[in-house]
Amino acid sequence: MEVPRVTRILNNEIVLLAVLSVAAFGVFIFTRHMSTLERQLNAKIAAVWFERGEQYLKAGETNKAIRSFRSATAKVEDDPKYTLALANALAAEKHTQEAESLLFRLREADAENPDVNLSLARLAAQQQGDIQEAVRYYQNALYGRWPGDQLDQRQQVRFELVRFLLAHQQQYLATSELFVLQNRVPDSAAAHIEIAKLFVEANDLPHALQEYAAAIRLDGSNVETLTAAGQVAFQLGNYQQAEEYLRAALEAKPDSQDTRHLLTLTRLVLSADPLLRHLTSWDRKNRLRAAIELSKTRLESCLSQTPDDKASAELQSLKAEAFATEAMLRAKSPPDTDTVRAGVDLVFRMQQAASGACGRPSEADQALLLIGRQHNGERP
Amino acid sequence: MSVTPLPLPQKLRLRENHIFFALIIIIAVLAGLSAVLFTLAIRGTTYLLFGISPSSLRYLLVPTLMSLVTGYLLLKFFPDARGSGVPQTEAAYRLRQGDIPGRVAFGKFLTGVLCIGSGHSMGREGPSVQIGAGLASAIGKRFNLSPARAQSLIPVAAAAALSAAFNTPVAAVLFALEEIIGDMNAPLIGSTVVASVASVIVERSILGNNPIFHVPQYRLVHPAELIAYLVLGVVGGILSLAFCKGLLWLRGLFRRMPARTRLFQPAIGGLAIGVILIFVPQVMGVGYEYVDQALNGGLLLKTMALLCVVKLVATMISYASGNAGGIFAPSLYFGAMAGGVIGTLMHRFAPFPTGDSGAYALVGMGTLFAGIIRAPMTSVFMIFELTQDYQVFVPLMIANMVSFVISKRYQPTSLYHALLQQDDVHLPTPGARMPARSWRALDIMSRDFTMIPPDATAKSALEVFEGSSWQSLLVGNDGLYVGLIQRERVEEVVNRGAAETVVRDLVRMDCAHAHPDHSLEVVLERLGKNSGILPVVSRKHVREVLGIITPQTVMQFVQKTWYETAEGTNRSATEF
Repeated sequence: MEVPRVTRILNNEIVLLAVLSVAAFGVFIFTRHMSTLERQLNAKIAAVWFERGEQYLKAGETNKAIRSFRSATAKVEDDPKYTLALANALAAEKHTQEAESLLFRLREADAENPDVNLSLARLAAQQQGDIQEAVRYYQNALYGRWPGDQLDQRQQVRFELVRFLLAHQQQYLATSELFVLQNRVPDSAAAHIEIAKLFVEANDLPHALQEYAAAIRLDGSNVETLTAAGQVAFQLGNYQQAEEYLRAALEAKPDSQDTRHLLTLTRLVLSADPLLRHLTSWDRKNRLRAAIELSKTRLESCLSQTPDDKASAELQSLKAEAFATEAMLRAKSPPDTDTVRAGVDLVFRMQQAASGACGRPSEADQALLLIGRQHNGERP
Repeated sequence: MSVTPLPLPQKLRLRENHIFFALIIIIAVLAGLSAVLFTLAIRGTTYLLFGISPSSLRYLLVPTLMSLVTGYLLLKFFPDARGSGVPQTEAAYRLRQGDIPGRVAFGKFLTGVLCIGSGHSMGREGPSVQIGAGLASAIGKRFNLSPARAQSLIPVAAAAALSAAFNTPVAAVLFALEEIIGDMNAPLIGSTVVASVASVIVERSILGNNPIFHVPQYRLVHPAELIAYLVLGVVGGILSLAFCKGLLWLRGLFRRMPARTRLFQPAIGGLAIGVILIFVPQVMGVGYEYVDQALNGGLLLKTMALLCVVKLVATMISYASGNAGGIFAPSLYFGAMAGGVIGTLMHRFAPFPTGDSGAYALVGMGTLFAGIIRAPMTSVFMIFELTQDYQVFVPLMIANMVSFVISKRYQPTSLYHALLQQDDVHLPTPGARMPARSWRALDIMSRDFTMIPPDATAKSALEVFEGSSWQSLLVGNDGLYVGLIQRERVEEVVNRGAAETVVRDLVRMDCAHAHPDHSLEVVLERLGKNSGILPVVSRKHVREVLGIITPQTVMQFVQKTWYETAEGTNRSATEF
């Protein structure tokens, strides 16, 4: 019996729809497979471009590097490594707008990415005046999600932040970051030296000396560190420590004139200071008398040179005061501490007046000036 | 009374509505997949042909040689696969009830991949639309759908294909309504939305949810910036005009070349493109990566200006020389560059604060799209979908409208329609479209007409005139007309003693014509321009005469209609 034509057609429609659906599914699978193959191919091509870009960067050809990184990102859009490299290269060439746009896009995808935040911070730092924004991104980078093996890089970022803050006269913020660094850097001479230098820049000499001392404990043969430590100790008025570091530095590098001069000065201070600890009363008296004698000689020499009446009057008055103090010191009993302090102050005033009227003092006079400043509470 | 259960085949019966709905989904998926495959194939071909960093020789040879291959394929096997695909799809929808031969879709895929993949400055969206529509047409035929249903599948597939190709589902729906159907209130809106969504889901599941462009956040910095966008609209309108006129002129030039050169024309274009690529490789292919750079402020002023001009010229050459590829992407490309240029200049010289050049590049994309493609709603929503930011609406609408108005004022026919007209295909303009129950030229015309061959003499023409009451006659052969001759003119020539003059020399070429779907109003207006005779010609081929309309045929039709109406009224009066 013949099947009615209409029935055949109706059945046919269902079959056709089913066949089409299966075909659509098949095409979907095929297309997906092709897309995967394309993605793999693109990944390979992008890697080639990225490598070329890196090479161009190393060779200093930033524009070519940008073109290469662009090609890499065109092939693989969602790899932050390529986009970040492009953004950094663009920033280096001052294409700020595009670099910023790329970095914002990356940050949108991963707000805690330290590299992205660091690049944003550098970009903000590059755009003069936007200190707050730069610091915000630096902080974001520091507190971002760092992989375990990149903790050292995190500290490098903090170093960079400190340098940025110092460059923008933000000493207070820089010092607080340095305190964090002090506790977190590995105990290596290089790290201590780095921190010490930054403390010096931040004008925090006691901590700088502390860091130099730590570095010298780990590596006592580094001449530069010894010299720097000696200089910082000297500036702090810590002459015994300064003498120790400068002597070691000079032993290691005997031809350094600056170190030799500073060491001489240090030794003069140490040998002339009447208020140095552990001295006997007689020693203090002798040192004070010698200091007054030396200052008086300088005053006299200066008086013979200066035509200025007003300056001469001041020098004459100081000279008279010096004679009075000398007379007092001639007594057989040792002077008390207040007398010594007053004597040191007189010496300081005499040296200061002479320097003001007659210019550069000799090393011995310079040492007396330093002693006076130190005991007057001034930094040498 | 017992009810007899239906036999299984009848239970499984599907109504046409059900089939149509199922087909929408399947066609959307297939159109989306075809668009994705098309994109992948173009990228793969580009890599195969050019490698990672091509030499100058390769830039020169690849487009030239590949265009020789595609030229042969297009001439011998797929003549309908040239160009964009959008106007062809529109023509198929409007004039052939959605009929697109299966080989067109296949040919478009193949030649489109070869052309765009070999570096031609063309877009992939237009071809994707035609490929999707071709698939829909082929599937519709298999299901023996009613002509109206089969026709409806075309815009559905077009929306799906564009949605997958450009990743903007709303703009794709609007494009199908605005460009293919030509009616924003079309009842197909639901089907196109479903198809567009289904297609974009498929596309994203394969390619991921990556946007085509990485658009920075849009900001209108100062209200005075709207003046800057107005300027952008003017510049966009002028550039749109330059592109449309230039493309049509160059295409006309290629078309006027001897027929034997047809095979080599795409290769001529390929050679020119090769030369351009040696110096400006950034204009190769679709070029969206450079649009992205312009959007993100990554291009210098000079570079953007150069790319805008070179891309414009390169696209004209690629398209006019008969290669397969679209103008959708190129219009966005030079729009972005033009916008970037205006934005940079404004940023430097405007006396008020302005946004980054990227914001202008973004609006510029929509501006050029509105001026060239003439789909202003699509362009507004397309940019909105890219930015997802309401702030962009006002500047975008200002720039788009200015560009659209300028472009339309000096080039009244849209580019897609003008391209079809060069191929002797006339699509109905919105004014020509009439409600179904109106009187149309098809109803009025007479199929009984006489045509005088162009090589006939004036004497024989006069004999024809004397045997009739006509004042004008059509001149032509085999149903294809070339113009009109007037009795007065023929008499004058014969009386002058030049009776042997051939009719071809007396033909009036500038005569008006009507199409079968034109309204009575249009017919009467045009009839007045001719000397009492109006040829009714096919939209598929404007030289093909389907009938003629004279004052007499109009009167006869009116009388007949009046009689039928009066008869019906009388009958009704009798019945009630």
